[in-house]
Amino acid sequence: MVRGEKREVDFLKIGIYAFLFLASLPIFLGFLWLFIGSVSKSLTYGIIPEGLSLRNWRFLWKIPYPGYPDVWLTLLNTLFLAFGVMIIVVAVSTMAGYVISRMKFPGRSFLLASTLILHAFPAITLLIGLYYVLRVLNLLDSVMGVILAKAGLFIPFAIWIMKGFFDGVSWDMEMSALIDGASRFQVFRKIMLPMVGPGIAGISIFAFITGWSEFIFVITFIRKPSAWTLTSYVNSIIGDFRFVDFGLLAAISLFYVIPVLLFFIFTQKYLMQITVGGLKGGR
Amino acid sequence: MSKRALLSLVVFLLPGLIFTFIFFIIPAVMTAIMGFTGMDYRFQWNFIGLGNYIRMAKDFLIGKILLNTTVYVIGTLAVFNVTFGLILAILTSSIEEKAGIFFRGVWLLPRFTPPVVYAVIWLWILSPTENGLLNTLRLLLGLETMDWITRHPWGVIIVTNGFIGASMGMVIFAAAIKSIPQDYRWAARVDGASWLQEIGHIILPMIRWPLLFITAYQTLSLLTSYEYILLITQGGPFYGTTVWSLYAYDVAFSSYAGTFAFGYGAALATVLVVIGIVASMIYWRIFKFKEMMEEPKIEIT
Amino acid sequence: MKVILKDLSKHFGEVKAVDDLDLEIDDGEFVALLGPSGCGKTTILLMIAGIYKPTKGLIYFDERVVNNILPKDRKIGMVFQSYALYPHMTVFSNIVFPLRLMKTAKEEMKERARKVAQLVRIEELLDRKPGQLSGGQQQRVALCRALVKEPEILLLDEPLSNLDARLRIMMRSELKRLQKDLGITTIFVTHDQLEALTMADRVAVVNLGCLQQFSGSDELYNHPKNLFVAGFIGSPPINFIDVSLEKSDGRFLLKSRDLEIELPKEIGSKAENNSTSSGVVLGIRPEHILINEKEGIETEVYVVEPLGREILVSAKLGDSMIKVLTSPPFKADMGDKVRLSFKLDKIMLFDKKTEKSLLLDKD
Ligand SMILES: Nc1ncnc2c1ncn2[C@@H]1O[C@H](COP(=O)(O)OP(=O)(O)OP(=O)(O)O)[C@@H](O)[C@H]1O
Ligand SMILES: [Mg+2]
Repeated sequence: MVRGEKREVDFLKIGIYAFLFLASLPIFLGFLWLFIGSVSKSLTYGIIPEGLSLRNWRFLWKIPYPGYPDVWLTLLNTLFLAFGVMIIVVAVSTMAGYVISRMKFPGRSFLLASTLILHAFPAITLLIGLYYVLRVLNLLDSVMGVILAKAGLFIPFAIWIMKGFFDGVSWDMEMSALIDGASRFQVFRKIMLPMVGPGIAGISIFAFITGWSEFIFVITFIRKPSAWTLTSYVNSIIGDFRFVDFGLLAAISLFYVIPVLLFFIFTQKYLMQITVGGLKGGR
Repeated sequence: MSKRALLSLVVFLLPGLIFTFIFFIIPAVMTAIMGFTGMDYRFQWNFIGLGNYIRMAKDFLIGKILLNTTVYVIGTLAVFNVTFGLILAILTSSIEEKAGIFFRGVWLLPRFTPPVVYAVIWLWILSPTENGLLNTLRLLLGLETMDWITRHPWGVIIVTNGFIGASMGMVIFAAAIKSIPQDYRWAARVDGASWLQEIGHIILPMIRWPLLFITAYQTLSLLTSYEYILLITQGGPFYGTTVWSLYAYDVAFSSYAGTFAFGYGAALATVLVVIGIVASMIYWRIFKFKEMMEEPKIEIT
Repeated sequence: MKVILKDLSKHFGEVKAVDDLDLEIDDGEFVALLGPSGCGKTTILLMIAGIYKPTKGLIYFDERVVNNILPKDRKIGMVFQSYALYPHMTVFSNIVFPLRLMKTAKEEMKERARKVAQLVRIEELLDRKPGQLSGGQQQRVALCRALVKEPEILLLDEPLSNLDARLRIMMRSELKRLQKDLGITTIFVTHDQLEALTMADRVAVVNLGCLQQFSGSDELYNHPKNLFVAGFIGSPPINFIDVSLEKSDGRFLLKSRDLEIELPKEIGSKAENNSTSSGVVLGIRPEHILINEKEGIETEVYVVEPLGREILVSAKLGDSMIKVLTSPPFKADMGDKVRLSFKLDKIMLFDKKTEKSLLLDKD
């Protein structure tokens, strides 16, 4: 009786694992193919390699097709975009998040309400208006323009998240520091900032990956190859050689996605926290 | 409030306010105003009143696009973002914790992968040549290769978007399931409930609220997202998978349409902006956002 | 340093957390703020500390009004109920945090930290993080941090409530001793009456934001000013019986359906003078009731609870229950009849309407 029951549970578990594995297969195979496809002369059955070759990685040392920029310049642009978004978002949202969470001032509830509404607003619908604004600011065709726009639209979300982290710090802690002789600013620097470390880490990674991976803004606001990011690079190859040069596509895609994979493997906890945190409203 | 306190307040808040104003508020207002102009690549403010909205009403594509949008939003939402997200959440919560976290990580990965890379992977899977993963399988089974994207554009769109969309529901539902007190589930098990009964009687009723929440949020986000459609089917074949937001983008920016009709595009986008604002307000009410606003406890600055 | 609160009020919207509070605390005094949860104790402390701004009223330190002085300039040390240790700093850094903010020289900082650490015997913990300490150790660290800057006023918000029973009793005497040695004016919040009565020089009983009584423990216990204080102080709690005060032939009688007691003359006339109507609440502490064989009010034993040194008897009188504390041996069993008599010099009488004591001289 007992043994029979145990067997049944095990079957259920095996079933669940099998289902999860099969359902995740496209993701597994997709990333596996990026690795294999990028270093193989050719593939049979779509994924079985035949002969090693670094030909697909040639973009690293020479321009693969005329008209494409140097990939290292493109990489620099991409890094600039990712770090730019990260630094702006973290700095701005940490300060604003603290004030909105902890300070009393006229207009606070209005700001809080606006943040709450904007953080969920689908910013992508503002693309056309943004294009005009960037044009007026003379920021089209520059990575800086994308950084500012991306950061600007990301900030309400980030403020909301940081506010949540600041909310989580006990009031006693802050009151105690004030009584110990700190000013509000010292409290912020010496007590609050260290206490919301995980939030800052989470927002940093999230913002970095968001900037690193940005698609629509990059292909819309940046046309000239010298300001391309890796997104433009891959997008152009897709456009020019859609189903033809899969080897090159796999190699450059892998090149592009490796930092994300690393971040993902090592910081999944933080990313998960932010993903949940952003939507934890309305329970 | 002392002068110094006021100053530090301003210093802390100002950057956020400036960014939000320049890149959120102004573009929103711009979009709305541009919707009343016939602006094109010359960027002139030639106001044409309701011209764009009349054009919208007469646009022979609009019917098709509305239908596409409905299919896209409801299809993806029903199959993946809610249903499959829920299935993933339940399944990953029913196995060992470590394994559950691993599978959730796998499903979260596409969300953080650069969209172009994600598209490349699917283009390989769906490739019409014999190099594609699916066509390889067909060949193994002795079948002809197939042009998946042209033959089944909707299936492709829903699956590719769904693999991204499912993760949000999965993460939220899994967190909700985890927060159900263990006692309930043990009590149910002691009472002899099977795994399915446990799901039906304990888990589902306890996560009603997150279900509603995900449905509401994902509806809005699907309504306005189009990057994967743009990458994978480009809205084709012949507007067959063009949704409202993509149409607005095409009209304004697409080089093959060649028009750069910013005015008309802005009008199309304004419709979405309005929907976004209205939805936000509804959420405000339903999800009792107001209750999340607490007063600070320190009264000095 | 003296602390004087004048007409102090704090309202949070509708909620009157503190209402018109007057309190005068002497230099070097150890005062307990005692009251049920939510009565405004923490709010009072935080106003004294300068974290909350009073809605109304003044706070004096000696002769100086401090309402507009920032917390950091008030020379206050405070221990929070949660201890509020900074988790990212070591114990040492926690303790010297106030000194660091004052830019104290390194050597002096070390010396002073060592001194306070010695005082509460935690020298060997200085390198640890708060997360690695037990509740009692954390409490001492918090105390050190409050003491290190040699404050003139020490505020303690339920510092013992997170400790286990044994440690709490030990810390009670230690704190009391420490306070006397240092001579710092100390205000101590608690909802545990035993703590308040045993440790403090004087106890301020607070309810619903209002001061009920401010006096020494003996006074509080034996001459409570009103029904609330009488009911709140004492364990097992005092018995209340609704009666009416009647006067016939110059005799004063307390009457209810189930009992009739004749009062001594001077008590009776005092009560009559002070009362607003004949409705009176009779209060009698369990230890002031005698169990007799023959005389007294007849009751039925409901339950008997041995407490070790004493026995707590619950007896049914009509619809109400009377608790009696008696010493062993006690023979009667559940359902048996016993007779009770009250020590008349110990009874308390309260006006049913105003809830004020009828036996105190009017002030
Ligand atoms: N910042 C605040 N905003 C609104 N109401 C508050 C605030 N702080 C306290 N209150 C309310 O004021 C009343 C007194 O609170 P206070 O914290 O002073 O009680 P307390 O006596 O310390 O209680 P406890 O023994 O539970 O700590 C309570 O009703 C509380 O809900
Ligand atoms: Mg309190």
